[in-house]
Amino acid sequence: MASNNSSHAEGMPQLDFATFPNQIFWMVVFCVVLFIIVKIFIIPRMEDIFANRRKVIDGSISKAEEIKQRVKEIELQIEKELSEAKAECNNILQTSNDVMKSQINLALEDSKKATAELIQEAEKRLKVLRDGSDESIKKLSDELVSEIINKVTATK
Amino acid sequence: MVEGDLVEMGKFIGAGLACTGMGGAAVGVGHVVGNFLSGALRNPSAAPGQTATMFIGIAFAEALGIFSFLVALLLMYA
Amino acid sequence: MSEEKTSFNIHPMDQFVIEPLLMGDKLQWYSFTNQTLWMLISLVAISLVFIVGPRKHQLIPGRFQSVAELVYFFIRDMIVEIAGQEGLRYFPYIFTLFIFILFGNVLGLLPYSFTYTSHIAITGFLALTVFLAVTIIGFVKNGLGFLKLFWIGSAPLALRPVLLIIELISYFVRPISHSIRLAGNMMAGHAVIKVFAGFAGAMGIGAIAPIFAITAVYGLEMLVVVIQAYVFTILTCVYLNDALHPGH
Repeated sequence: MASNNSSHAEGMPQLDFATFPNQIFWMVVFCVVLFIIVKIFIIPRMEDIFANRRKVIDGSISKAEEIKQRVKEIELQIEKELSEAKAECNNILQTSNDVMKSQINLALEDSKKATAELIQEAEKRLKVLRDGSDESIKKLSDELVSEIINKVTATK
Repeated sequence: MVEGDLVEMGKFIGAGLACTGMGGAAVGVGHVVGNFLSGALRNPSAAPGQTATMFIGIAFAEALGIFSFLVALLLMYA
Repeated sequence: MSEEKTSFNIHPMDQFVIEPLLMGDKLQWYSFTNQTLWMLISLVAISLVFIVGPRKHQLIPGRFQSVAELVYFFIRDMIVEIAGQEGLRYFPYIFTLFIFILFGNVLGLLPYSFTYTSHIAITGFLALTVFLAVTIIGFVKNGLGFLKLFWIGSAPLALRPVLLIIELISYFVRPISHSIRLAGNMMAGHAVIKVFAGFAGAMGIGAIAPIFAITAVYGLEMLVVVIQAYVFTILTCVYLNDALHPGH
């Protein structure tokens, strides 16, 4: 049939049953070889690549997670420090306020005392002055009276 | 020019007639893909999961056309 | 070929003839034929793509490696999608089947090459192997429960015997359609190209039209060879799924 007439195919070469044992024999050989290649070389290699990639991706993901955690920690710390600083600031404000208040109070007291003293002294002096004036008025009036009497009596 | 016999002529006519079966396969494949496409345009999110099914459908529809082609070949060459 | 001038000088079937290349002129079961040569070439091509290509284990794949990875994980995902996680046990067999057919188909498109997948002996043997393997797996995994594939529990009782006959026929037709689909597609495409080439040889200056047609058919064939390899594999997965989960 077709196999011994190499110039033209007569009929369908696919239906030339004389070639079947040859085809099937070689196909089985090549399929087995191919299967061994797939099993020994291709699958481990591909799985290796896949696992490698998976590992790298997982590594990056875990790294990102770690960094996220760190960022969170740092944020927390910043918050803590911020609140501490705020508290301290409040404290300082409070104390300085207190100090200022007490100083003002002190100064107020001092000035009050001083004014009171001043007033007292002024009153004393006023009293002295008033007493003095009373006496001199009396003296003056006495003199005046005696002089008037003298004058009146003298002219008579 | 005119040679061969009636059997030869009948073979060729039969082969030509058998090839009309391929038109049926064409209609079938077109129907499958067209319906897939109209469904996929209505619900594009479901389409990727069904492409394999579409290919299976195409394969079934096409196999019958291939059978008719095979009949034509057998008539002509076998 | 050209010495005999007849009106019909096109021999589209010549390309499928098996000729012994080594070990004598007469075809024996062990002869090294042109078909064997192309199986060897496809084996070398597979090794190039899948072993030499990704040898550097790059994290971000280069051109060769991404092709290899694409094919590998495409088949892997397909098995998981269709046959479930248990189907992954049979991944090496299915992957071998796929690349054997794919490379045979694609290399067959080279001019002067030989398409071993266009031979019904090859595809028939592959399909028969798949059929037997799936049947055996079905009985080993499910015992007599595998017969539920034919006795459809969800159908009305009166319909079941009819469905049984239909299911049985469709089950046993599987290897035939499985193999003829692939071989027929390959044969048809190559024969069509050859017929157009014959027209081009006979038409002189008017050969431009058939050459355009050849280009177009060649483009279509590029698509068809890949899809047929895919379809052969996906049907294998569907049959495997039937064997693993016969209930539905």
